[in-house]
Amino acid sequence: MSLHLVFNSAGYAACRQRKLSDDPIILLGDGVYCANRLDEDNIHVLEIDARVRGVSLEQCKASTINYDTFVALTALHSPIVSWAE
Amino acid sequence: MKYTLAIHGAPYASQSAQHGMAFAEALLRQAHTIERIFFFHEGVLQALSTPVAPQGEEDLLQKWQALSAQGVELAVCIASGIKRGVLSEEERARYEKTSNSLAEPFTLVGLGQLISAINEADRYIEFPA
Amino acid sequence: MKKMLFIISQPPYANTHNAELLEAAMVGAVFDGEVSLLFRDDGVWGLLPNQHGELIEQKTFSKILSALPTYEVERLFACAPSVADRDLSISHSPEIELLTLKQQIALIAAQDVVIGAQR
Repeated sequence: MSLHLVFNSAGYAACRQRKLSDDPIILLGDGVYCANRLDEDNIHVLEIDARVRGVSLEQCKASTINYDTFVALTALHSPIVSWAE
Repeated sequence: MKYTLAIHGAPYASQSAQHGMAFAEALLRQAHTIERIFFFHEGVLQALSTPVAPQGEEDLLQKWQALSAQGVELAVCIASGIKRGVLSEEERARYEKTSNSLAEPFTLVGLGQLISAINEADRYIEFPA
Repeated sequence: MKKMLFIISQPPYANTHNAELLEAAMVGAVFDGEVSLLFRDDGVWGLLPNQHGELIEQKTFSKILSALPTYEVERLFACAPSVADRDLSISHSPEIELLTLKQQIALIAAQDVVIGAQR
């Protein structure tokens, strides 16, 4: 199963059209601004990138992850697709 | 597991370096191995020897060097690199420029080194600009 | 050998990323990779005929593209909705196959690696 790394909102738009519904997504960089707008399951947010930007994840359905979990997710999935537009 | 990473962004123009470096450190903490970090497109500018980090801000070059000290190969696409001014001493001499600009311990390599690193690795991850 | 998909999502000429990606795709094929190439979103502008890179002393993207089959990069795809949204005709490029979004999902899921994130 693929893992999608989403680096900004335009990247999310391109990704969501081309992913299987079960594929997990990691939001990182400017991708974290999407965190509170998304209603999908299986979304992870790189916590440090959200905190840097002042993006609150309190109301967010997505799970927050650190780099160790990021690594663990990449070990479980292939291919890993980066989306930045 | 064996990983190949690619860095596509220039210093200060994106988080490509920060993401790639933090990811690489987490890989090593978990006893994964890194086949090669490949610098492509504007990512080749990470290998310049000349930047001066602003006081109180992170020194990217120093951090790359620290990562290399843990045994990670830092390979710069030669075609992307030389046209953007990233020159080893060998390339400096070949093109008769006045100064070289490739920081230790980066090396200039062909695109074949990207493909062979991808072939050797279990995972390939790109950190875009 | 690895299945590698290169994705072109930006137009050519404003920067040299697309030409650099095509070089990587050719090397991938030389190394016996099973290489595919997908044009999507504004990347499909690279499929226009009559490009003249020489006017700004750059390589002509469409010419590099037409050399790909020589390097055994033979699976060339374009996103059908991206092409339609831009009123683009690619009938001059019979080697390029149009894919629906659903077909692109299957294409990506079948790869070992995906290369070419750009902005």
